[in-house]
Amino acid sequence: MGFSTDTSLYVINHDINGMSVAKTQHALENLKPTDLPTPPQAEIRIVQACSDENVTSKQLATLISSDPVITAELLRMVNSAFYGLSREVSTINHAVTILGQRALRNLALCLSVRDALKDDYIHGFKIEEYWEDALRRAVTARALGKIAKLDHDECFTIGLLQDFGMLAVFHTQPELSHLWEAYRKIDPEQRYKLEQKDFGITHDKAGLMLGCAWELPQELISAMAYHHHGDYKNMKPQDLAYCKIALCADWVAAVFTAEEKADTLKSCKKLLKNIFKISEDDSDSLLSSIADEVSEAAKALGLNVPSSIKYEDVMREANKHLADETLSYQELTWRLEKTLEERDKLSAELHKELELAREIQRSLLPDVNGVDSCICGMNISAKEVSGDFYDFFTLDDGRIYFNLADVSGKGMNAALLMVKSSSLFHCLGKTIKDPVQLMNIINAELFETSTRGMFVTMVGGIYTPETGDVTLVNAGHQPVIYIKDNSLNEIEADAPPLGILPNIGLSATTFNIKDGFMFIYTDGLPELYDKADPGSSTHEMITLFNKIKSLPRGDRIKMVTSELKRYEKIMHDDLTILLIDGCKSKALIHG
Amino acid sequence: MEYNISKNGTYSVIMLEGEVDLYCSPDARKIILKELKKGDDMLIDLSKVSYIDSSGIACLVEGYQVANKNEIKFALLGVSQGAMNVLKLARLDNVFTIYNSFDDIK
Repeated sequence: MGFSTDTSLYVINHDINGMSVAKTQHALENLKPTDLPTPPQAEIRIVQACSDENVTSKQLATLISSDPVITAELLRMVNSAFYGLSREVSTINHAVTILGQRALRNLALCLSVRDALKDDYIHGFKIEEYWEDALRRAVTARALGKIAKLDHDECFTIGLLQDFGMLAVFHTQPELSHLWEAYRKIDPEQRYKLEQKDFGITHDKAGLMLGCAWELPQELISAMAYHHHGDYKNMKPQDLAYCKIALCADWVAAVFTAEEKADTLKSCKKLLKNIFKISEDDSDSLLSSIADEVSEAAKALGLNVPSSIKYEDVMREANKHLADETLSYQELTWRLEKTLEERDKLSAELHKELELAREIQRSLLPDVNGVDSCICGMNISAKEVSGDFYDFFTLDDGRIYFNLADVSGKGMNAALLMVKSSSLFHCLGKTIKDPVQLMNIINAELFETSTRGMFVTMVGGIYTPETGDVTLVNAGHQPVIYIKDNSLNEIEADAPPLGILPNIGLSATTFNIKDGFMFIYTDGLPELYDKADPGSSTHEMITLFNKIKSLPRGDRIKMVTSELKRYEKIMHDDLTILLIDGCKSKALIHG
Repeated sequence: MEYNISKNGTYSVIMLEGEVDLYCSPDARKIILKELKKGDDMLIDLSKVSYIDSSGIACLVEGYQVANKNEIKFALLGVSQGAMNVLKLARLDNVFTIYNSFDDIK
C-alpha cells in the first residue's frame, strides 16, 4: 500500500487471463462516449455553465430555473440536513448567492450521475451497494477535505465519483457482475490487482476514459484516474491532495465491507496516520461518523441505499478476529505448557526407572557378608546406570574369586551388557574354578549374542588369602597394578576383550602379593586425572599407589574415595576400583 | 568428527578425522555399515583420529564382525599413535588387520 509513483502501472497487460481480459480490453479500447451511461443533457449544461468563468450568477440562475424538475431537486438538496444551512433557500438565485457556482456545479454533477445510473444499468450488478460504497467514500472525502482545508463539497463529489470507472469496467462485461460481491469483501489494494487479472483493466483507467467522455472538470478526472497510481511528482498540489483524499476514502469505505476487518482497519488507520497525521482515536471518530453521514447524504441525494453498516459492528468483528488470534496464542501457550508438563512427567518416570535400574545394578555388587578377606571395591557411575562392574565371592576352599570389567560405551545398553556379564561371572564362577575356562565361556556367550560390536574388557582371577597367591586373567583391560616388596608391577592384557572373537586365547598369570596389594581400575581413573591436568595421570596414579601403601588397610579405600571426591564435578566416565590387600582382613565396599 | 569416503583399487576407504567418541560414534557406525552394504573391501583410515574411546572401538569391532560374516576384507590403515595405544592396550592390534600405508596392502 502507499502512494506509488510508478507510472508503468498504466500499461495495460494484454496477455493475462485469457478471453475475458481480451474481451474487456477490446470493449474498452473501442468504448465510445455513447456506450457509457449518458447524463441528462440539462444537468450537463448546468455543470458546464458552472465551470465557465464567463457565465454570471444571474445567467446561471436563469439556466437552472428554466428546468423546474432540476430546480426542485437542487432546492431540496440545498435545504437538506446534509448541507445544514441556517435558513431555508427558496430560490435558485438565492442558492447561487449562498453556495456559489462551484458548489452548484457539484450538486448538479451529483444529480447527473444519480440520474444516469438507473437501477438496471448493468444487469446483475447491485447498483444500490455501489451507491452505498460511493457515499461512504464521498462523506469520508468531505471529512478529510475539512482536515486538509480543501473545498469539502468538491471533495464530496470526488469521493462520489472516484470509482465511477468501476461501473464502466462491469458495463463492458455484465456477465462478470457476480464478481462485484467478492470485490466488496477485499481491500482496495487486493481489489485493484483482481480487476487487472479479471478484466485486464482497472477502474481508474476506465474512470479516466469516462471522465473525458463526460467532459468532467479536470480536477475530478485527475482524482478518478490517479487515486491509486500516478505521476505524483509532476502533479499540481491540489490534484495530488484530491488523489490522497480519494485513496484514503477508498480504504475507509472498504473497512465497512471487507471480510478481513481487523487487517483492513489496521491498514486504513496506518494510511490515515501517514498521509493526514490522523491519530488512532481521531480515526475512530471519523469512522464512527460515517454511517450517519451516509444516511444524511443518501437522503439529500434522493438515493436508496441498504441499511448502512455501523462502525461499532465493524469494531466488534475486528475485535472478534483479534480475540481469535489471541485465543490461538493462548492455546499455543497452553499446549506448550502441557507438553512441558508431559515432558517433565516422562522425565520423572524415566528417572524413576533409571533409579530402579541403578538399584538393581548396585545389588549385583558383592555383599561384604561372608567374605573373609582384605578385598574392597568402589563403583561410581557417570550416568544413572553403569557399564563398569566388579565382583568377588569366597569359594568353599576359602579362596576368593574376583573380577572387574568395563563394557564398551555408556548408558542403558552398556548397563544391560554389564548385568549379563556380571551375572554370568557370578553364576558360573561358583562351579568353574578355573578363571581362564570361566572367561572363555563368558566370551563365547557374549560373542554369540554380540550386538553393535559391544565388548567387555575384563580382569578375572582367584586370590588365596592364606598365601597371597593370585591367578589372574586380563582380557583387553587396563594393566593390573600390584605392589610387592616396594616394587610396582603391571599385568597387561594378553588377549582382546570378551565378545569380539569366538576364541581369544586367554591365559593366566600367577604372582604373589603377600604383604603387598593389588589395584585394578577402569580407564575412568587415568582419564579423570588427565582431565583435571592433561598428561598427569601416570604421576598421579603412582602418587595414589604410594599413599595406599603407606596407610593401614582399613583406611585405604576411604582415602581413595575422598581423593576421588575432589574430581566429582569433572567426572564424565564410569569409574571402578578393586583393591586387594596381601593380608587377611574383612572386606570393605564403597560406592 | 569428520569423515571422507574414497575408493582405492577394490577398497572403499573411510577416513575418520578428529575425536571418535560417544557423541559421534553413532555417525561413524552408520557410515561404516552403509559402506559395507555395498560389498566392497574396506579400509578405515585412522591416521587423523586424535582420540577414540570404547564406543568408537565398538564401531570398528562391529564393522569387523559384519565384514567377516559377509566375507569382506576389513582393515585399519595408518592408525594414529593415540588410536594405536588404545588398540594395543586392549590387544585389539591382534584382532584387526592393520596397514601402515597402501603400499603394505598385498
